[in-house]
Amino acid sequence: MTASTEVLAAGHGTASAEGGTQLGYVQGRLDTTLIGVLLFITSEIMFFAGLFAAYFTVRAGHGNPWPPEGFEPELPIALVLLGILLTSSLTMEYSLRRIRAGDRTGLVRGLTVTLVLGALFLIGQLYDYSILGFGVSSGIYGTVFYTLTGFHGAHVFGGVVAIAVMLARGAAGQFSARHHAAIEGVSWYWHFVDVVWIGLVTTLYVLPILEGSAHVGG
Amino acid sequence: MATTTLAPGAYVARPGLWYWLSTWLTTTDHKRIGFLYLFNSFFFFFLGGLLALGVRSELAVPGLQYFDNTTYNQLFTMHATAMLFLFIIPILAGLGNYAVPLMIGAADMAFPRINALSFWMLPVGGALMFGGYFFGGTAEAGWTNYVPITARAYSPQAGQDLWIVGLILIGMSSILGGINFMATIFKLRAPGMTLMRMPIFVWTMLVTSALAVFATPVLASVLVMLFIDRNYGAHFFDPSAGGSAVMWQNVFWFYSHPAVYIMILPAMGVISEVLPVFSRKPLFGYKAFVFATASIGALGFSVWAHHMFTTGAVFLPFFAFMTFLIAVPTGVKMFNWLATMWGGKLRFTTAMLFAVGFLAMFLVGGIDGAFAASPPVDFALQDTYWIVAHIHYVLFGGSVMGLFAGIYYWFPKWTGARLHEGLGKIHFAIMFIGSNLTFFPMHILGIQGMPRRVADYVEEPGWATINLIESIGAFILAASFLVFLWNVLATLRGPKTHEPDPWQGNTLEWATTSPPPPYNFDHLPPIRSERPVFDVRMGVVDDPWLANLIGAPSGTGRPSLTAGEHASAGATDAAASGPGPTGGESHR
Amino acid sequence: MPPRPDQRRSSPWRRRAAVLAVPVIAALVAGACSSLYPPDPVTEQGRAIDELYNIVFLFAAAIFLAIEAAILYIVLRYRRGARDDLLPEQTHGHTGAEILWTLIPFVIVAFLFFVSWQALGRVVADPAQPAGVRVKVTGFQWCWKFEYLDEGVKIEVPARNSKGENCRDENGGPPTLVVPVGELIRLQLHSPDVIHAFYVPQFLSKLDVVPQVDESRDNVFDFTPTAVGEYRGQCAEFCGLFHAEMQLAVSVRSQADYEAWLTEQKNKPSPTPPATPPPGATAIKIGADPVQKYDQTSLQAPANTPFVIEFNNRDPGQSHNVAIQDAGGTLVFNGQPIVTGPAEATYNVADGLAAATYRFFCIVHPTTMFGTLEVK
Repeated sequence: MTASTEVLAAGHGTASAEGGTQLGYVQGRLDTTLIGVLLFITSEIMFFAGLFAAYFTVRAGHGNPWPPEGFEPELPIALVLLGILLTSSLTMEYSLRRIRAGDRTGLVRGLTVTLVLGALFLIGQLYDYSILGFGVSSGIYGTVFYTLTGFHGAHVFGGVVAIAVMLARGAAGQFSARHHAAIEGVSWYWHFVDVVWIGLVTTLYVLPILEGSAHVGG
Repeated sequence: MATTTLAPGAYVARPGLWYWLSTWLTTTDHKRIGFLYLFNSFFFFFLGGLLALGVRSELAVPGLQYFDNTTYNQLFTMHATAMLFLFIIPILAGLGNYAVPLMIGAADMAFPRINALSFWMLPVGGALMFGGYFFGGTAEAGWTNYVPITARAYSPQAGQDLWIVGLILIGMSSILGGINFMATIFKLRAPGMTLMRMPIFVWTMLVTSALAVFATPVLASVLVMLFIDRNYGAHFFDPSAGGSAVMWQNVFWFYSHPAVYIMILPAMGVISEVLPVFSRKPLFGYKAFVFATASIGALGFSVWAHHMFTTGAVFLPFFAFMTFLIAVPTGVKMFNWLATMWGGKLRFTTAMLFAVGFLAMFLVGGIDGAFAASPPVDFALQDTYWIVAHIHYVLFGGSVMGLFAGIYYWFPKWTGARLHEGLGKIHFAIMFIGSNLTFFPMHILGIQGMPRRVADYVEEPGWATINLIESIGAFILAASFLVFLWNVLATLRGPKTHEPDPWQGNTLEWATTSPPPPYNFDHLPPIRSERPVFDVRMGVVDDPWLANLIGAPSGTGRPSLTAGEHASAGATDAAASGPGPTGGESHR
Repeated sequence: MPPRPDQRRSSPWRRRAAVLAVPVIAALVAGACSSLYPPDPVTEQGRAIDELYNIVFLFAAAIFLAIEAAILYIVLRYRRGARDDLLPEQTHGHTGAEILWTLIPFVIVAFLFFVSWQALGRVVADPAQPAGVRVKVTGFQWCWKFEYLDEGVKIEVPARNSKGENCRDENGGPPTLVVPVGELIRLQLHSPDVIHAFYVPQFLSKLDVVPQVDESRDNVFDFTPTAVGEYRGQCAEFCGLFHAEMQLAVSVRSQADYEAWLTEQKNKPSPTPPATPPPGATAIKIGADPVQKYDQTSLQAPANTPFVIEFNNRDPGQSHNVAIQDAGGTLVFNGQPIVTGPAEATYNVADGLAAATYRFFCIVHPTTMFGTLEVK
């Protein structure tokens, strides 16, 4: 049979700048997998949008003081966690640049540090929960606080698992300068998780201070 | 020249039930996954239909004859749940699953394994939602699941939690499917198929998928919030602790309004494919269709609170205005469809009958919506049978009619045999009569004051008679599906003609065998317009392979062009824009 | 590929049928039209809605008839002949037409929006306008009660009367809101449990009853009745098991009749009591303590005889009651009203219970407040 279009040209790949390969003819330059990751991140942003909308609705209906009396989130811990995540985004970016240059060792090194930082975040978050003194059922503040930070933590956990998988694959030599779209995808997801944390710290911790309605303690 | 020794579309077959089962369970072929969507969705369609018959049986005569209040409440809740989340949304995704890669000249979807995952989440989600039946009762507060009635205090049954979790799973299926379609449509179009040469059905699937990706996660967030309230003592929706009952409605409808466009846009896309083929004219105003579809998708995010006009918590003028506005692109589509048929040569195959039925009935549903868009009028209509009439005219008269148009249109491509026209016409006639008999009188009940979601109604003059007529109509409607089933079984058992292009179609799915081989295309023609197969058949584009496949010999045997046709066909070719194919013409 | 045989050309009978169809359909539509109109409004606000409805209906009917006629015409006029293989003119579009049928619908909907906005001002409650009569309407699972705020009058019916009807007085009538004609009646819509909706079809209007802790956030429904009469209404927002039976009535009376009724109500020794238990019926005492706890988890009652539950809710700000379910989980008794502490309520289990072991619980907190009821 005549295979007369690139659609059927098995083995004839089109390399993309992000280090992906698509068999067959494709439109556009962005790697297909990365489009998938981008859309997935979009859906996750919308999920958090729903949760943030609930937060602001509840906050507006509650009035001051906010957080209510007896509920004091720990700003210093939140800032430390922010520092951890920001650093991990830097190390993630480092890993990506290393593999773009073909440096597998650099990739593994960077991913390991990122993984450790991610795990540290999770430990820190759990520690924070343990000292807070209120739970998800403790009034409306507890509800929104734990839901927002809890789902963020769950997303960090997912990211940590993904990084672990990338680490294993990277250590096994599955990535190269030409083929590393998965690393790019995971890095985008990781930055997204970081951005959500920035949003959370701003919303839960900083905004009440700026509004003068809170007594966020340490 | 393609020569195959296997029957069209055949897989290498080995005997045995286990082999057959494992291929279906593990398939990642978009065509088979499309069939899986069809089977699963029709199963829930019949289940939802039985529940509807239960509702209509109870309402036929005043008084409670067959069910108690609890059971009745479960009936209407699970009827809507099954129909919306387990039937109409997935089945249109299933049609798209089969058709989209073919229509854009691709070998499969961008992410075949995620495609399979998206499907398999559906039967599991459905089992969870209905599983409540075995654990003390399903959800019973309506598919809209308002709080506080669905808070733990007022709906203690585990079935309500199962409903929530099942729906989260189904939502994830929708999101993954949306991602898949968008990636496929953006990346895997064949050379020469620019976005403005895609079939309108593909455009509607694109916008539908965008809606799914953007809106469904918001549903997930509100379901999660309710689950946490119910099971972990949280207070999102507990007014006594600072939560808000109306907040559920806002977040829920932020998803559920775009969801109704998810339910209608693919059906509109089907109509936009069927009408041109059976009018033998191009779609009138292709660009307008693209813009109208995109507008409906975008505007769809700004109207959600029109479901909440009577809560007293909504800024009425904004939402009224946006709701009225969305009637404009919808109207444009209606006029363009009519203009497509105007001056055409209409062939009334069953698919075409369903398409015309869509136009006639969706119009009514749309007009109903215009009444409800006006807040003062909505104060009279909200939560009455008027709204029930509206939703069934748009969903049944719109989406289901569109669905059947698509099924009768694409059946020969799926199976190699056309559904019997005679039975098809009987199916259409009974369905058209039955649905109008069931749903039109609901307008009367609604404006006269009968609320919805009631197991029984007061004996106002005429209400009993009207309810009885509606119930009879519902059974007539149910009978029409038996005709359809019979048609499907008889056709599948009968001889297969394997016509690649039984309707003289326009789009790429007709450029391959019926059914297509697993990899879809042996050969793609050059794509110079939104009607690549038509172009080859008319000789506007030269492709002997395809011309031979669809039986369009050169010379006098070909359907002749009218004078105007020559001019406009030439104009199409000259106006061709976008990158040329990298392989099409040189490989012969 | 030769085309398959198709329908015959339009025959004379078809044309006659088409011509006949027009008046038949017109007649059907006209007949349907009258019942497609709302009931005659009996309030000023309802009148504004009715006028608006007529305008919308005019456009709707015109558009419906025009487009269905167009569909019918196209379907009959452009049928393909059996052996007609010529392609018709392949028109891809017409910018002028498309602009026209974008602009015209836009103008129509803009107009409809405008008239809707105008009407809205005449319908929604305007707090600046003083009300003649103010009533707090409490919608609860599954009945209504009315408190005339400036008169100290309360109207309620038993949740279940002695005939076993839900939300009816002994004559089978629903709770009735009595108001004078011609005055602005202001209803504060309050719910202690789930969302309900106050709906009177002849008012052409409804408004949700949304549970709020702060009563100043309750929805306000204003209406000015224009005609004396009896109007039925019911809950229009699904609220659970007996949603369909949550009926109410509005009795609009002349000013004089209303005053007379009001005086009669004030002179009543106490509000219509729920069906009283026979004297000497056993009374079980149970209380609720902070937070969300019963003070007992084990109760006894005599079998097959009416008994009374005296419930003392000492849990401030929390709503509780006493409900009973049998071993199979079926709800056999739901004490009304649910009271917010500190408050007391007397629940009359008028039918008694068969000898068995039951579970009693608070309908608001069924998983945290419960106990066993032995009926012997």
